[in-house]
Amino acid sequence: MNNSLALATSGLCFSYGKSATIQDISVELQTGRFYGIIGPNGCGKTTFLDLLTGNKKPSSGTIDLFKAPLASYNKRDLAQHLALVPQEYDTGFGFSVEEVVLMGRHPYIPRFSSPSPNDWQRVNEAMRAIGISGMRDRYTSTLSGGQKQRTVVARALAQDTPLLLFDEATSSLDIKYTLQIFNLVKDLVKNQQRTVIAVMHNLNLAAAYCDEILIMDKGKIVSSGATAQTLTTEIIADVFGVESTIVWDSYNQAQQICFRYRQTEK
Amino acid sequence: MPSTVDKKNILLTCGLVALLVCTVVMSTGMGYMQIHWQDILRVIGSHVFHSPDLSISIEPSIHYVVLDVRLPRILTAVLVGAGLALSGVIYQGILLNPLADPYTLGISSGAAFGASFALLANLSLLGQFSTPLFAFIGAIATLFIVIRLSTFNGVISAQTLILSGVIVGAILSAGISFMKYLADEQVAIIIFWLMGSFGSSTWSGVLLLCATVAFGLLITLYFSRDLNIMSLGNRSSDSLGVETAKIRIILLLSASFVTAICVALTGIIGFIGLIVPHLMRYIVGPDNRKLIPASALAGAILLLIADTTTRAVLPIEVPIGVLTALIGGPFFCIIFRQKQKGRAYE
Repeated sequence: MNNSLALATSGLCFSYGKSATIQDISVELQTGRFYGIIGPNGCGKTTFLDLLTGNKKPSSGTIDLFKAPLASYNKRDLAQHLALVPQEYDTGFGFSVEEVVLMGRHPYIPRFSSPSPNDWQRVNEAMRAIGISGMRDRYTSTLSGGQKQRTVVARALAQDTPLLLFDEATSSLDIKYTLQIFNLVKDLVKNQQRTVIAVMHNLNLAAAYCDEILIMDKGKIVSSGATAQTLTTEIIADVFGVESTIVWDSYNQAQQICFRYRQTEK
Repeated sequence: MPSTVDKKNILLTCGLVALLVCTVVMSTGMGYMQIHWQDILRVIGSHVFHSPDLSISIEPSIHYVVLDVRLPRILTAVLVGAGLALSGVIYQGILLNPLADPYTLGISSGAAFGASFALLANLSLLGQFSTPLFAFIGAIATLFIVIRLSTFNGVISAQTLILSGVIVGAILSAGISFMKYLADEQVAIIIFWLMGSFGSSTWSGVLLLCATVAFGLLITLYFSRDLNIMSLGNRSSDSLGVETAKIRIILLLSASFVTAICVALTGIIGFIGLIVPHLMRYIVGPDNRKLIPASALAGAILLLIADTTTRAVLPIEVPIGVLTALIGGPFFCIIFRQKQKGRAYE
């Protein structure tokens, strides 16, 4: 079916000070797939995303985005291909929800121009999809953590890019909104051939939504492939140092990981 | 959506311009010698349009007072007010800190240190431009040191930023005091200049300020939408197509340049860059495309009113820097309290 490359890295390395935080990552990610990156805290997941967005420059190795070198994109071009929902964000000096979502259209609006009707349509669609149309005039400084996060997701949707990066995008959302956002993203992947790379901490969510999983540990990708084959009790014990057992959840038609709350020797 | 908002904004800008013009004319009339506003307009008109007939019935001394004494001082106050408010908007926007302004960041002290050094060492490499040049060098060096001091792991800490500014400012003030101690005869000029003074304003100073503020205003307006997006933080603004690192440097250098020229010509005038962007943010909102022109105009009006108050209303002439600090200091405390309560921008 589709086998066009969305993103490929080869021998990607990055070091911060003396210690290497990303070591020799080579991956090929196809369009129209939902990729999950999992791994323990501090294993370099956010740094990996920083390299993909051009926020940090690799010390060696190459990144190709839609078959062109990342460096060949200027910032605006890049922002039309790749959107990021960061883990930490400011909401600025009290902009309204609508204004923040409209900032997602920045790469499309020429300097000194006003947003076009198409820009407004994208903004309205994104807000409706996330269900925040009702609070479009609220100031972001008055929002709860979850509301802010949904605003940022809506902004990334308004950016209308073929590749979407999520860095722990649902960490402050309750279960309803978490599922809402993942369902929405899954739809974009399925119906619009978009590509999603999501850093996730909740392994069961990863198991339920991701087509493929990349497991990171100490700056390397230690295992990757189709979710069912990659998420195993062995690798979970190896990487996270916790015991678990994996069962088939027929309700969700997905793997379900049950953890045992006892530290294993590592 | 925003057509009504834009109309409101245009109205506000026109209102501020009209208010500024009225304030300029009224201030020119005030002072030891009261001058009627019609006479002022006729003197200015006759000069601008080269038609002496307009002011034929007006005494030559009024010509002199209006054109050579009051207007240079008034226009200096207007331009410095605009420049400092503009710098304040930039510092607050880029450093994401509502307490940032040229004064609290120590930039003004840095510029003053550089300028004092040039004055005392009698440096005149570039003639009259050597004081502004050294002020600029001092401002940039201070900006660099303050940001370096408050950066941990590549992130500027908002809490330590102002603290660093205050510390570096204190060290520089001590340095200036030491220079004053060494200065002997020139000490009186320096003391008065440091407290902020418009008394010795000249037309060449007005021209330099005019060019500087216009340059600052154009650069900031050019990048105003990027500045809006930069308030979302590095990662977000980068991923939205903003050249964050480059624009941050351009804007910080521009703000420091504008500050340095203002300080070199009129000494340290604190808190204008802090108060004005705040007030305007309450009125026009956080959008820099509206905030920048509104702040520049309001800064001009506010500083002119302050200067006219000390020049023509108060029984003794309080140095303008002292007056703005007396009014601005308590304001700083209020913002600080609100920031602590986390609701400075509700």
